[in-house]
Amino acid sequence: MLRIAPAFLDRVVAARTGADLHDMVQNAIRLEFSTIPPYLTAMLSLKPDSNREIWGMIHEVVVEEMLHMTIGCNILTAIGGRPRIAAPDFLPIYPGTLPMGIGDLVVPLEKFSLALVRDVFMQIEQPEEPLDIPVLDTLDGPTVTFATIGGFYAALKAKIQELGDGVIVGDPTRQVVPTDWFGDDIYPIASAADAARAISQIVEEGEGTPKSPLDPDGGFAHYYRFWEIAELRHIAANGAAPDGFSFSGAEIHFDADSVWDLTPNQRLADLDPDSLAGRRGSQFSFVFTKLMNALQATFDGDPARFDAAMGLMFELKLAGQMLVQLPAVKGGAETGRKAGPVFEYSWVPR
Amino acid sequence: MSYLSPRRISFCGRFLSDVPTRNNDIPNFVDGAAQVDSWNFSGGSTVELLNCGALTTGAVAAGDPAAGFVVTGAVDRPSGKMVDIDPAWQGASELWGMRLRIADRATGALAVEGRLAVCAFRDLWTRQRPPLPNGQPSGARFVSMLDKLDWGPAAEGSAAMTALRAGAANGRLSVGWHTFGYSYTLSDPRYRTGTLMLHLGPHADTEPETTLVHRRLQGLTVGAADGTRIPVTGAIDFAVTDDGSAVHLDLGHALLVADVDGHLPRLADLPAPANSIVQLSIGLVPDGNPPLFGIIAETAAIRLYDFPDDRDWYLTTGGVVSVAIPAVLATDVETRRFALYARLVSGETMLVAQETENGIFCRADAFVQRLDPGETATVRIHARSFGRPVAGLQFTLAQIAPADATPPPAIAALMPTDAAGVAEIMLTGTDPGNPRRAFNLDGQVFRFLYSHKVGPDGRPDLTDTGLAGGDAIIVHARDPHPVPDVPEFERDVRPILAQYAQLYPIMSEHLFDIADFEALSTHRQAMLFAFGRSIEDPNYMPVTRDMSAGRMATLVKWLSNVPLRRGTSVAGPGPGPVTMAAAPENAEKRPDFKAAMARGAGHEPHQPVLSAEILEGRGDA
Repeated sequence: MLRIAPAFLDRVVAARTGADLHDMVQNAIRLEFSTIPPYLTAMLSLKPDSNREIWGMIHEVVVEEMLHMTIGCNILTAIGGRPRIAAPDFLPIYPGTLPMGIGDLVVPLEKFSLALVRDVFMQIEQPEEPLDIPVLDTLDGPTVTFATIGGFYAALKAKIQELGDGVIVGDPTRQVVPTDWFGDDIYPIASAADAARAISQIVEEGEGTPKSPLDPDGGFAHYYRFWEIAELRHIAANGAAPDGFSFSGAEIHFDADSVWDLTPNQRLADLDPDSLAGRRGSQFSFVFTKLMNALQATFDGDPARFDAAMGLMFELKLAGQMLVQLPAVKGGAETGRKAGPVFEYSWVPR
Repeated sequence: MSYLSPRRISFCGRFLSDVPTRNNDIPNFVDGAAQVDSWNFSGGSTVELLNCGALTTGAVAAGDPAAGFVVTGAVDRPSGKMVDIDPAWQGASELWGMRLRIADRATGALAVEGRLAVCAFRDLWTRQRPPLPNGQPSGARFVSMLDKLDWGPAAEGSAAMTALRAGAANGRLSVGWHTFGYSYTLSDPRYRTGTLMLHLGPHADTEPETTLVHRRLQGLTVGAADGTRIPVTGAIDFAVTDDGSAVHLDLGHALLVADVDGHLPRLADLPAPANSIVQLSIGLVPDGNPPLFGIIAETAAIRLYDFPDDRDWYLTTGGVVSVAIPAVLATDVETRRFALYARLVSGETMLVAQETENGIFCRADAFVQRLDPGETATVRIHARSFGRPVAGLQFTLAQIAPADATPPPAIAALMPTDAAGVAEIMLTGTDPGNPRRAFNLDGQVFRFLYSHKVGPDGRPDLTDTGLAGGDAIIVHARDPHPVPDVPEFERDVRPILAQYAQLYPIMSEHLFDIADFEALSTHRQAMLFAFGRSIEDPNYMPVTRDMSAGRMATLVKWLSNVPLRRGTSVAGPGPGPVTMAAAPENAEKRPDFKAAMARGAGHEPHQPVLSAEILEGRGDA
């Protein structure tokens, strides 16, 4: 489970107005976004002619993280804040701690491996143990050194419910509701109840519910999807199992040789500018920058721009697929690895 | 006055053009055909400007903040696309869905951004001297217009940007790109990129949108003894100020380049007999209109500007140059043709090229058209004489392709140019009768030459007009395609999409098999999104913009009725089988259509060649 610094939770609990929550919701948006680069990097490292099922499973999670980021932005907009996406401090540094994290989970940008899925991705999405001491109670305890992301979302949901509909002061025309892309998983945040429902959705799609690995739509939550990958076997209903499910589904094929050996935590500065990988890496970072800018414009009052952002998401994957097949060249020599996706801001492609 | 204006701002850098190439070969269109793959068969059509920085030239003085500006595509939208209209005509690749953004390189602060009008390249010629490590010797020019301008804070501190903005009160800017040095070579780090010089200036209300129509000094081609032709200069477009005090020349696109970067070659290094020329100069035709290729007394030559002798000149100036005209010639430049002089090794001076006949230069704006049956389009030809609109000029049109009796689009009777120097060609699409059905190619591509001069055969005469065969009006007339009441996948949809899946493997490599029922059902929303865009949207599908209205309507109708399945989104397409775009062994040896055209298959200027015989004996001092 993702453990976060207690101060963030304290601030949510201490909030007296919607404005007091703006920074905290912004942190949640950053957190949802920050999972995309590591997931996307692992996904892109899967060679095109193999490992397609795993590719698709990670991809579904990436799409839902985009949905969660969108929901977070809608909540922030609804309570009168402005999401800040195209900003230098929005992007986490990899390898590093995710936003609000306490540093016990260092998240890298690396090629796919079963260890990465088990040790990092599952850790990011891990649900709270149902029998844990309720987080809100632990706040008063003197020995607490961390809170959890689940607790943070629970506190945020409780606080918004406590503040009530008066907290919804944002311009409703700024709500981004691309049902063409997300169906009924996306809806305007017009009340405290909408916000509470949306927060539950984020948590349950990531972690499942205390009773079930399924999310509200009947799909497996992110944690369980990653667990399936780690076990290379699907979860299936099983009446004999304690919670009704077991790893008794179909096998998931994984060909370890069909993974590009990507440069971990690729930086543009580590690719020769005049190499093919340097050019493609620059192109990738430029498209990534465009995506951030398009999302910023979308949440700054032009919801129709979401379509352009989706077009850029496709371009980003395309640019990434092209990039990861190229040898990384540094100092005039091939490094022996392939170039990894470059998640850096860049407004001048080279 | 266009990008030739002294208010111009020039940039130098490179561009990415990731054009797909399977659709260059007509046999590849046949359903199920084994595909012939050339140098970039897996391309995605993306166009992007790479590291294009401003030059301290034109209006940009050293110390002006604009010297630190860059030009890029949009930074918050998908990339523009480069597209051929059809495999039958690859000599007018167009830019679609493109925006240009001028910004501070260091901070990213916006100076100005605008939408680029769809434009096709022109003036293709073989301008890069051997060796050719990049495999492509040709260069072309795009001229277009930026509108919907958005000026940003970075413009305010720059004198050059302030002047440009003052000249753009009508909300438009003129844009000219020179492109050359494009690399076909997979092993080249510059693969799929080319060199770019880009110029911005004000755009006058009376100007065409996608071409310069000022004045044109024709280029020079030298014939070698073995019959080969050696291009020495391309055509030079230029504009003279109203008061006759200066001439602004787009010399850059007329110059040979020695390498991919754009260094200039030395005339002495050209093959014989072109190396007989030691200096080229631009001036006015001498008194008495002496014949072309005649020796001119040095005292009779009227020189205004000597070609640069600096190998870096193009890289530092971008190739557009303003030249002061002595007051004594201020009237002459308005009535006298410009001339190209060559000083020979022998010490003699020769008149080697001159401005178009009577100073008349005409060009069709927006000359690439797509027409469904019954659809109409208007192509405007702009005509000027010595830079001024010329009224009453009658044009002649002649179909040069196809050579068969396929019913062409209907063309209304041509009227002469109006007071603004504009003649309109009204086109209406007709059913071409599916003449290319054997190749599963939609409709037919028609090419119409135009000229204000008529030859003895009654056909357009291009001689001394500055026009080349490549200046034809290009029309893709599409076949009618009735939309079924209830489209069925196998009967109505798969046949359309299977061809795209075959020709554009990038789709199945990185998106999904667009001809697969299950994949289409899953990604229905993404497909409806892409098929429903405006054709000018960079996300428009098909990227080639070659689908008829009936076929498009059939797809949209079918997709709209497919039940929505969970997990659909454009962000969510699953992958298909992928093969890396490794070039086949013979990729770089395949015939190159564009280079072939540049060597004479359509773009060669209609003007005399300076023959080896004429130069004979003049190579000796």
